[in-house]
Amino acid sequence: MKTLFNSRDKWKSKFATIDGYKTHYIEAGKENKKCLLLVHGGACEVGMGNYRWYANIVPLSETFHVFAIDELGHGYTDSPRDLHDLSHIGVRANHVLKFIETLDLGPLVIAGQSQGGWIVTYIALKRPDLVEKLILIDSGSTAGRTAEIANIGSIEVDGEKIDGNTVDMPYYKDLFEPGTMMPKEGLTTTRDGVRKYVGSFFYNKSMVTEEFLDNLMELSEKWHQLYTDYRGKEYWKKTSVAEQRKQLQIDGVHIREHVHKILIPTLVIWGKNSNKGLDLGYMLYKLFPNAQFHIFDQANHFLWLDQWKDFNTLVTWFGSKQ
Amino acid sequence: METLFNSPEKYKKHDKIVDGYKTHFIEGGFDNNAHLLLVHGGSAALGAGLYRWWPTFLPLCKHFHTFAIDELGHGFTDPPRKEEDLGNVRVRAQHVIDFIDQENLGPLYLLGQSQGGWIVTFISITRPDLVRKLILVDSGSTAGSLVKNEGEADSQKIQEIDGEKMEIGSWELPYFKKIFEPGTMMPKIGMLETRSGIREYTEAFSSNHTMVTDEYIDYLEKTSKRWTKYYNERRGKNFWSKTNVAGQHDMYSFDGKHIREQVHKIKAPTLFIAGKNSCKGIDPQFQLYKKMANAQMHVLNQANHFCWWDQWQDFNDLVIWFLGRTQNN
Repeated sequence: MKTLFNSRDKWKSKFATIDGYKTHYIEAGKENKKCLLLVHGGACEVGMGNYRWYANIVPLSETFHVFAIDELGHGYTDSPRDLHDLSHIGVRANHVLKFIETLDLGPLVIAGQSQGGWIVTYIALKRPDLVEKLILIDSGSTAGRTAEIANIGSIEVDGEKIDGNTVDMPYYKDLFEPGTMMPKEGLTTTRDGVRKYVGSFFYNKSMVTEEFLDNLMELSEKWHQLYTDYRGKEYWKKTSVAEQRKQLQIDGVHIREHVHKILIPTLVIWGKNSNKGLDLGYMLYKLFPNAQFHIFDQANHFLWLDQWKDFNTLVTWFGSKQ
Repeated sequence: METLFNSPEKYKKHDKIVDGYKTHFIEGGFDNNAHLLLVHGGSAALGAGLYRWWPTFLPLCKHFHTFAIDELGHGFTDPPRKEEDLGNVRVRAQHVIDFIDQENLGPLYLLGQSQGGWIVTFISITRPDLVRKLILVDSGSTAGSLVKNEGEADSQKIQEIDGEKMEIGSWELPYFKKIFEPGTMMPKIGMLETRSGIREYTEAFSSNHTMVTDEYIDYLEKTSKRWTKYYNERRGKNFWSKTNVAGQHDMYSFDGKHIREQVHKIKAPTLFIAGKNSCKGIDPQFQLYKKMANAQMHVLNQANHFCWWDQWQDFNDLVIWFLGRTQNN
């Protein structure tokens, strides 16, 4: 496995100024190859950024000119100017869009996981001219929750039945304070806590490597206080999970109600054991008019690490095929 | 595109005796590569056999020592000895097993479409020693499209098949009315007697009608001459006056259970490829996938039941990818 950690000579860590923000990204592969941008999901309140692609960037760079961005409030990129926008998905999406414009990367292949899937979908809707192919990876935020979807009824999440009226997922109770998406005490500050928090998104927990944890602990020192201040108790006193999820709307409706407009060739990838629910992924897939769907086995939400080899070869195939 | 029709020099045709039956099969690729066997689905009354793999076979030969068989009662292979066995998937499956054993091909890669998917699933459950990896292609008979289980939740009662909402337990799929006599799975009377009827019948299974080529229709006219009358006499009006579609589905069960309730027993790494626009329905196939123990699923877009035609390039790539891949570490 060639990783960011053991193949340091195969990639560069770079900074660019995007909309006034110091923006960190990783670049790998030859300039004459097709561009592929990897767009990560949420920070786990430790500021987790683009190092989550540690087993993917180098292998993908054999075929693509790969970019992996640290979004606003993540990794080594600045936080948003208004700290109340910390983790706000629309603010992050516009920053990614400006990154593509500023570096003149389009039209390119964009792949986004979880909230990053929402972001790449947003870009495909706003600026289809920039997107040659679209890859969505286990993006529960693009799918929605049972309570938000008419007539979906109950669903199954990794073997557990979920009520049709809830926005909660079964894994919430292990990680979050009740009624919030705020991690329980210790999950973002201690090494064992971070291992447990991040590990809950993996099928293959051995992929939460010590090197990856080193990076997460370094980021936690930088970020966790800011997340506690702006996404902690005070924020969740005023906000319910359902309210928070309104961020996922465009023009007053959830983003999934817009995806029928996307004619760009799309690959939706999901984990059979996703803690976001395979049923929701299947429902989302059917809304895309020009998409293929692939389900990995023994794969949770972080399927690109659980099944890194299959993920890398499948994305290489889809991204490069005629 | 190299096809079975335009590159006959690239593969060998064989006729051998298997369990007393003259059995037609083709072979291509290098002897030292892994064995792959393609197993076709039903023929209706046309007797269509292995040449339905015309855009698939030669691309796969570049990577695998590839075989495709004409099952009993199909193509250029003999019919089953007992007339009532015509079309029976169990009897066809046993013949495929006998073929693999006789030619000493196992353990091998097995790929089956539709009823051929049922056959390769059956082999994977009952003879796991023969199977290295399994690929199922749009298999309504394995999924049990519109077959309702006892105690099944109401939320699963309505499924979408080819854009139409269907009730589980209603048995008849939307495409039936295009090509079958009402209440049966018998092609409309007279439909297979003309070239245009054969074309219309075949198009019901394909999203990309340019893949229903003249060469393929030439082939079907040949098989139809051999088989259509034979099927009509044995699987025609008399047969369907005694049998309904539900009764016909009994053959998809063994050991007292529908095959879909047994797919968790499959040990071989499995890829299930289906067409989003399948006339057999994508919902029941997704439900089938969830019951499998060690499987990936891929849904092709703009692809009907004959998804290996409709998206032939992607289909061939995915098969080569899945069979050629090595897993993590």
